[in-house]
Amino acid sequence: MTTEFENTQLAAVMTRVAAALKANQQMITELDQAVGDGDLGITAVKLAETLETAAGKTGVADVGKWLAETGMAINRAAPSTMGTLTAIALMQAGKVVIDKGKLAVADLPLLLNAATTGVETRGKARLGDKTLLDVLRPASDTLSAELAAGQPLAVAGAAMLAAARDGRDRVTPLRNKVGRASWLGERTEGKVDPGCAFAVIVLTAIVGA
Amino acid sequence: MKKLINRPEDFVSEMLDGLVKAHPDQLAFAGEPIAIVRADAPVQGKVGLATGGGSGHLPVFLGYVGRGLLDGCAVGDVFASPSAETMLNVTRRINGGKGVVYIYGNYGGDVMNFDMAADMASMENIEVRTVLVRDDVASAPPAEAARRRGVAGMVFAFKAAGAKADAGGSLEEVAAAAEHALANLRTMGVALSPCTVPRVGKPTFSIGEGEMEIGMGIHGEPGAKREPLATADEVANRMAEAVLSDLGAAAGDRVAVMVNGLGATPAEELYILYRRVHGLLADRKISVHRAYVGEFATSMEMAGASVTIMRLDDELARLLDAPARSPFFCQS
Repeated sequence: MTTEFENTQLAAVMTRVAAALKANQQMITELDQAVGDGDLGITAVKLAETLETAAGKTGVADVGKWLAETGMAINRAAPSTMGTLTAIALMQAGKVVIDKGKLAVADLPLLLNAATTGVETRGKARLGDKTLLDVLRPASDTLSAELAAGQPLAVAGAAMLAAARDGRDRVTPLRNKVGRASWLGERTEGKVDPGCAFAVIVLTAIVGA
Repeated sequence: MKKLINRPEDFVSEMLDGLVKAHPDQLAFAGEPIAIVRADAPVQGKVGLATGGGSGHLPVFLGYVGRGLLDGCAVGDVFASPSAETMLNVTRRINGGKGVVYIYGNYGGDVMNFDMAADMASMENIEVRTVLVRDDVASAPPAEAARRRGVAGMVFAFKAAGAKADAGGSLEEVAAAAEHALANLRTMGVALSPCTVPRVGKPTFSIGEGEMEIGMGIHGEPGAKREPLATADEVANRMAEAVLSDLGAAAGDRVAVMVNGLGATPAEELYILYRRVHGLLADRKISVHRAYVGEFATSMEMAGASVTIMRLDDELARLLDAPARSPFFCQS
């Protein structure tokens, strides 16, 4: 198992996430039309395009700055709710590894935790409100716990994904409590939250499963 | 999708280009082609007023950039927030030395981006106050009023704050004027048909010929519930009663009324609705100081309407009556 990642590997992750977002555009749009305003698929494509551009910058000396600048570029390209939350997540994740030339395995749980905390703080949602936080928080906690317990990255990544999917499914029967979907009240019960679905797609692509 | 557009991805930029070309004496771009400011911005010695939000609501948001109204607007894609950077560009351009007040609707993306813009502006020593519009009574019960979304009532907040700023009000006074207007107004709407986001190409929801969505917003999103379509009088009563009850309006009150079309409902139908709202107010001994009937905050080609009622005191009446001029809103 490698303990450090080459920038080309990080670029490959960005490319995978971009491809997954594009491939799922229709599904995301339909989920969002059911409870929101239907722009999440558009946001996903803009995010994908920005990530594709960012993936070309493998020559950077500072991986933290790379992530943070990708976040800012996403805010410019896709400032909708999910785009902004994604931008915040990347900017916060970048801060954790600022001045580092390469990412190490030990950085990964810190990155995901910083991203999750950023989403939590700016997005002002709590667990159980049926937002992407319900996917990110258990995913982040699981990744940290698995790696701390000495599990190899592949095992920890699979456990993280399982926790992410479980988080999404656990809130599906509930009512959305924040954001646009909350205005629909009981009509959101039983509907998959588009933000949760989005977060699962992104995490799945990051792991490369 | 049946729209007079070119490429869907050019919808916003071409709309803005046309607007600024049509009204060069009133509007200008500020640094980037999605930041719109008054042609004479910054107005020195006046508090700057900014709003922002997604496109697809004209005249909201940028239609209220003008004299006696707002100084600038950050424009997003259809139904999507503009970026924090665009908001910062607007803020810089309209700051006339007395700070800037943000007035915008309570939507997640907008709140996060305006908060980030306010943080960045404060680092440049521009003082910013934020006023959130949360006037839609159908979007949350009174106990959770802070969660409500902003719809057509924001126009009255723009008007009050704009007049206060024109009269030389301080940053705090201008923000307070907007808050005062918002504390005294509520809105409710119904939709008869959905709208289509150009880049999506399909309607936001489907609805039967004989149905209406009660309490929808201005983003083509579904409402709180769906019911059989009722008559204009029944719908007007329903909206006005919900608004008056939430507002706690009483006999002897003086109000301003807005009957707002969502984009595809003709003025004729809006006046039929206004007629009943006026009748209901008269029955309750509430007098109408000013009525606004037309399109003020739309959801592209959605059919339907909303009713906004603002309770007035002398100060609010004075602010509402002050002259104002933009390409979409003219009052002398």
